[in-house]
Amino acid sequence: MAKPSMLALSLRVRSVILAIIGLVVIVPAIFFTVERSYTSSLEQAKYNELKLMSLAMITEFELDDGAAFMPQQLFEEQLNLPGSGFIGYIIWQDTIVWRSLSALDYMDPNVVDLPSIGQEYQRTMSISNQQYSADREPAFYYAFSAEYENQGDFEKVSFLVFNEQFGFQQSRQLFIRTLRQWLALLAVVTLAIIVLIVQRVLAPVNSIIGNIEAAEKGQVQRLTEVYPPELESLKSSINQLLESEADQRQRYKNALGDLAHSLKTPLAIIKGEVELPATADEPLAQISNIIERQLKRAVISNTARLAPIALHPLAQKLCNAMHKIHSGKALSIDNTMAESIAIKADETDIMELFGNLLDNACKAAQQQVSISAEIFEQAIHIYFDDDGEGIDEADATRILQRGSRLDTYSDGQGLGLSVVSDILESYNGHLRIERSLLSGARFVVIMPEPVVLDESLPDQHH
Amino acid sequence: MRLLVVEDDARLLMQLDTFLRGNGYSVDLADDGEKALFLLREHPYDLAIVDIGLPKIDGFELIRTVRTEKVECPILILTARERWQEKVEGLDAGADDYLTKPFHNEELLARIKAHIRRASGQPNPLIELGPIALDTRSEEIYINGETLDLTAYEYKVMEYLVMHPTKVVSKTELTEHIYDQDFDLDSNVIEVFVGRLRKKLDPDGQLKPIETLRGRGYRLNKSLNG
Repeated sequence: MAKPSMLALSLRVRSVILAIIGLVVIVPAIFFTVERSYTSSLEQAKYNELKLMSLAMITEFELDDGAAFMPQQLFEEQLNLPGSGFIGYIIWQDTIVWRSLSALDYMDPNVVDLPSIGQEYQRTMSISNQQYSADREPAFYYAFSAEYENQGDFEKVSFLVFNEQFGFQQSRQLFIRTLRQWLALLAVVTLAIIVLIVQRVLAPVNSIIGNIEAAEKGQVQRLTEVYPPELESLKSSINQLLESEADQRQRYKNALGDLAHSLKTPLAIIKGEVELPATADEPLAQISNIIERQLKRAVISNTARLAPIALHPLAQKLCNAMHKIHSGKALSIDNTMAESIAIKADETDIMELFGNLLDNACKAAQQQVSISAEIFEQAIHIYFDDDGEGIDEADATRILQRGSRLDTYSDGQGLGLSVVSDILESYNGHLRIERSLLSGARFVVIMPEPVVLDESLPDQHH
Repeated sequence: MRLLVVEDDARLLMQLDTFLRGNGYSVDLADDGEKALFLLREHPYDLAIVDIGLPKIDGFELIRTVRTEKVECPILILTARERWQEKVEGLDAGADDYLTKPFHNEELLARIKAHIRRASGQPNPLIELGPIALDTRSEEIYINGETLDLTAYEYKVMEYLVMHPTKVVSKTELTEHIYDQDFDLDSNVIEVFVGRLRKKLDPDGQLKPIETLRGRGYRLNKSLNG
């Protein structure tokens, strides 16, 4: 099973994962360090306590004429109470000469290694007790050997103090529990702070991503918000890219316009030649049509990032132009599209689409042409109606089937329709031919994803 | 009728010149926007044919400029750019019609005639003035339904007067619109044409179709306009 690579994770998830990894390392390290230093200082305090006890024993002990003297009861109460966990022994001449009252339940320790005179031992050692199980923690053990005068000789007397670890382990466990709780709390709080910081740090990144998405959808033409310096250079690169892309598109259109000009002017000259045989007319018309159609196809630009354009003002411009072009006819051309209807498309494409269909309608019409639109089933339906002779069903089918070929059904409409079908194809739209209420033909353009503009937007046509 | 043709391709320009002259128009030529602007400011044309892709001043700009300067002759755009966006821009700028290259000479001619006629307020190609009828398509004049036998120049004089029915037309203006720019013509020739026209149109001296306004020029008889 392939593991998702780190690169595929979002910045936020990545930061949080890294923070968790960091905490997993740091929190136990803190725990270990604190626990160690606490335990060792506690142990040191314990040995000091034992040392003080041994000193109390030393002050009481006496050697007199080859005999050891030691009171049974000591001032140090811990050594007097059985079960206190503190046990004292005094060893002279390899024999235990005194044991504290608290040693009642204990077996005598089998100590072989005793410190030499003036030396002390601090360590742990197991001692056995009749009441406790053997597998408990070994006791703290402090031993000190002092020198006593005995009949002119100096002899070694060792003072041993044991302390069971019960109390010590109890307070250590309590400390560890508290430490764990606080460290867990600390980890949670740290993680929360890191998440918060990541969020704050990534906020501009999210914002620039949102902005880029808006540019992609054509809602904005360039990135305008102010970003931290690290992102500013990214922003300016993106803006440059957006501008150069728009420039490129415009240059491309212009270049194609120039190409049309340089191809068609010589064609016009050939066509104007008086000596030209009539048979040349058709091939010339074909060449001209091919140039026109291919150039128009080349500029159809359905990219994702297109701003919505309002249809009413665009259609109105075309209606005004139609009045001039068909001025011989005294047509009434109605544009009843709602002002709020828009579509994400390139203006040149929609102009071409509407222009061809309106022009066809004007050619076919007696007096009346109308353009209207409605939105239903998530699609915009745009109607081009005329009061001409209409198109019967068989012809309509033929026209739609041949729509993408260079046929004509009358007066150059075929070419117009093939451009229409090229444009519709690139916008996932389609064309239908129906009977118009004006008694002529109704061409219906159906395009997906209509946009309803906010009424508060500035009116685009003045 | 006097036309201005603005086109930067020299061969097409010459071809249009030959074709339009052959059809009885006097033609001025310009191969860039600046020359065209100068000519349009200086001369009253009956119609201008303008290409869009022009050196110095492009066609849209030229049309916009002359329209703001109240040059009112019909303007016909002749261009290879045929996207509707460009057509709309051209018509918005003030052009009256649009013809894309390559075009049929006959279509160009028909459009020129139609626009000149419409500019003079004549919606029909057949213009009737009482018993006189002028057919701009066939370039013939009928009187009481009978064709008159006219020379090309006689027809052009009558056509110009009919297209400007209320205007006093001077001999110079007639000369300018019937002959080419640099054709220096004795104004007596116009008098001769008008004299012959009167005889042919009105052999009995009843209609008096063309009035002479001494020192100013000629005008179509108002009674003909009904």
